Amino acid sequence: MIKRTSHRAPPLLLWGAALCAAIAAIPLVYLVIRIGGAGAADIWAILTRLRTWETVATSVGLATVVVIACLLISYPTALLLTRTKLPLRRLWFTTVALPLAVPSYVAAYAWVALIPGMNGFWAAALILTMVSFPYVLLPLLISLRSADIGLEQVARSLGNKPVAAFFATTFRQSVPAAAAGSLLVALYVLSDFGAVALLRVDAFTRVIYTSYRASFDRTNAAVLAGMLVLLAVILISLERKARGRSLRFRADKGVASSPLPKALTPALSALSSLWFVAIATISLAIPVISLLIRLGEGTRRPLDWAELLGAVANTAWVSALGAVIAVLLALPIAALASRFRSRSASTIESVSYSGLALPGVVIGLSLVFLSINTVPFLYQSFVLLAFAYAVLFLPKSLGASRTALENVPPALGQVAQTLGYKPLRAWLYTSGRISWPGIAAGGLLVMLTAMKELPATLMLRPTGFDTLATELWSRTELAAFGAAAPYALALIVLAAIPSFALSRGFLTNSKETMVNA
Amino acid sequence: MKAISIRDLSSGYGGDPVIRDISFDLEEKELLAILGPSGSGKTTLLKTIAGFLPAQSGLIKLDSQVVSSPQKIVPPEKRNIGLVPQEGSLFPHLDVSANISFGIRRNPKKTQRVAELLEIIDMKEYAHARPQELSGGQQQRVALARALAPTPKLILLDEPFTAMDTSLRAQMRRDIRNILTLTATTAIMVTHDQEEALATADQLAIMQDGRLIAFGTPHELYEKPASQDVASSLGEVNAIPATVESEHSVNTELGTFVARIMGDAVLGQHGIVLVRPEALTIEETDSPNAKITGSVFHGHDSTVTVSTNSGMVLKVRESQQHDRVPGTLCAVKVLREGIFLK
Repeated sequence: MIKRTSHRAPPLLLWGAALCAAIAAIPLVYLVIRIGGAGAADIWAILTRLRTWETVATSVGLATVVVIACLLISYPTALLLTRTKLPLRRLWFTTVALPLAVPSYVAAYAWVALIPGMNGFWAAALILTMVSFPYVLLPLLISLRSADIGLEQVARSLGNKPVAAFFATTFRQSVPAAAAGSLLVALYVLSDFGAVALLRVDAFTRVIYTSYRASFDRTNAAVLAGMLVLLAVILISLERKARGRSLRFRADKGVASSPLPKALTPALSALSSLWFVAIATISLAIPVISLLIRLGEGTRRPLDWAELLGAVANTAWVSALGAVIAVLLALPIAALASRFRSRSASTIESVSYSGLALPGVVIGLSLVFLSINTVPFLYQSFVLLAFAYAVLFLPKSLGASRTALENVPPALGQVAQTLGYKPLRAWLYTSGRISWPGIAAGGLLVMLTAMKELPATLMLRPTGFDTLATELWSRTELAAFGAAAPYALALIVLAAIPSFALSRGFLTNSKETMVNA
Repeated sequence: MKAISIRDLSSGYGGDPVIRDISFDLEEKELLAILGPSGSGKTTLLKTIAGFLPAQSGLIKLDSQVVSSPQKIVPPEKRNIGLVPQEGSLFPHLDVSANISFGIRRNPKKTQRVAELLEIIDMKEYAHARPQELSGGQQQRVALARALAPTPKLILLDEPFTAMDTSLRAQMRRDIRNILTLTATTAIMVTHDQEEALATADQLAIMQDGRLIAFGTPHELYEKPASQDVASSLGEVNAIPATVESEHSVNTELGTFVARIMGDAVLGQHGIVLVRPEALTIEETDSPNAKITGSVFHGHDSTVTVSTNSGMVLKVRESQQHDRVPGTLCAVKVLREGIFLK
């Protein structure tokens, strides 16, 4: 279990961590201040507007449809993968994690490029399902794999038929994992900007963005952003609960016996293979083929390499800066949370997870307000953009750093201190030295994720500063699908790196990483 | 000269003190074992001595210097105290030599010192081994050498043998004891294992619920425990209701036998007499005073449970193997002196 020293945190660490958490909370706090400053009458007018509730209905409806679709895809897929002797099982195992590597707006672009004119609610539902179902499938696979088959055997021995025994035991054990995954998908759909914007669905994020662009009254955008944050907070707290329960189910120490995979009849085998081929086709093959067609067809003018490389460089360094800020903010909080369990420590930690509840479009909006009103010289500066990335993806860095630090026994630091090292040096030479690869990996994950970020980048980038995501966006908006293709490809390659590491981690049975992906 | 003096020390994690009113002195070169069940406060005491926890009241003196008091706390890095934690305490990213030299990096003679210590712990050929390649016992020896490197005034050992299996522990106890003697180091070791404490220590401190309930040599405490708690924390003990019959005997259900009368008891005083299971014996007889109720075989000896005529349950240790059938009537006799307590 996690070892913690039970005495009080050093004040310097506590205040340092509190300061970092406070910095991370700036966008959320400023959003609240901005809404608060709007005046009750204005807010009331917005809340009673029919269009507001149409937006709620669209977003909630989209999230619901996508979650149901993800569950319908994931359960049969997970059962086939864990309980049958499916042909090419290992190949399919890897394949089903890959859609995570496709950013939603890249998928949307690919479909639109293939079927120009494709748009609307159901198109968005299809595309979002195809990029987010692994969020349900992967926890479900883990849960089914680690479910103790002993319970099912007990149920069989008590006279239940196989299917009944499965539903009475293993299925029930998998419910919390599926629930946690579903809530992540719902959160993903609510926060997604790229797909709904490209497919012209008036969900929260698109409405917030367009009313921000309309610019004469930004109160509407702020209030809608507040509502979206509220929805996200509800989803996150539900997800926490569900995940807590799903962890409890595998808190056993003994080795759970795994089920013997069942042989499939040739007909069933063919049918199952068809199922996987269909999933792979819709989620991966079609977008990739569409992209390649557009790439091959070329642009009217030849690819501007300088422009592409310029975008890559911009993307890389502003994301790297964001990652550095994220790691710097995360370190004191992780050092505190990995060693001390007190009310103040856990409050600080929860505050710093606020990025989870802030979709990119909301952070973008809040930082636009903030910079215009209080620090105008930062408006549309890359520092502000990097800061937005840092807040958005701080949870990733925090999770990685915290895990790495928790694995260092506290006794090492104490030994170093008794050997004459002052506390900070003792920490650097033991915990810091031993955990840096994990901390750095967290930073890299932040950087790779930030490179794909679209809405905050669109709102905060300096004029003329283009990243891969914004280039893809502007070309797609102009229906210049061929010109957009190289950017889409570059983004997929970038996104594939963490997903690849992730799926490898999954295959080698690492249980935690994917939920935070 | 006193290596460490503790007076009326209370300490804890900020709320109510976890340990209270601790006082003792330890001479130089002595090994003190602090014995107590988990939660008795022994690790808290160790952390307070190391300087990781402040004294809420009282004081700690090292070499006559106050290092902890409510007004003052010398930080751990300035105390010159070595620490050997439980398992897994070596720096995993450093080899054996680098682990040992961690505390003497600026010392010009560090190479020589490391070689010397490798010699003492008998691990010369492991100088460049990684901690992961060592056995548990070797790891603890390196951890001890690392703590000894800066020649500390005092070494603290926190349950140093917990992670080892029984066969290894006895050997490790002897090794550590030898190394400490060889280097003339004062040491305090925390343990919950009475056998370990009795076998290793010069002085023994027994803790219960955050208080020191006994302090003395292992012999003193074993032979003349001041209370039933002290006696039972050093091994199983039978407490038999008794009446003082003379200056050195008591009368009990098992008859009259020799006992050391503790405190100011008068003739006719009622109390209990403590008798170790190995001080009792079972005989077959025509006039039984007990019935055998059970027997547990331990290998080197066995423990027989008997129930006396009045229903009192006693444990008897037998080193020779007898066939003890539950239900058999027998006579329980006292072989050795008991301890009478009011």
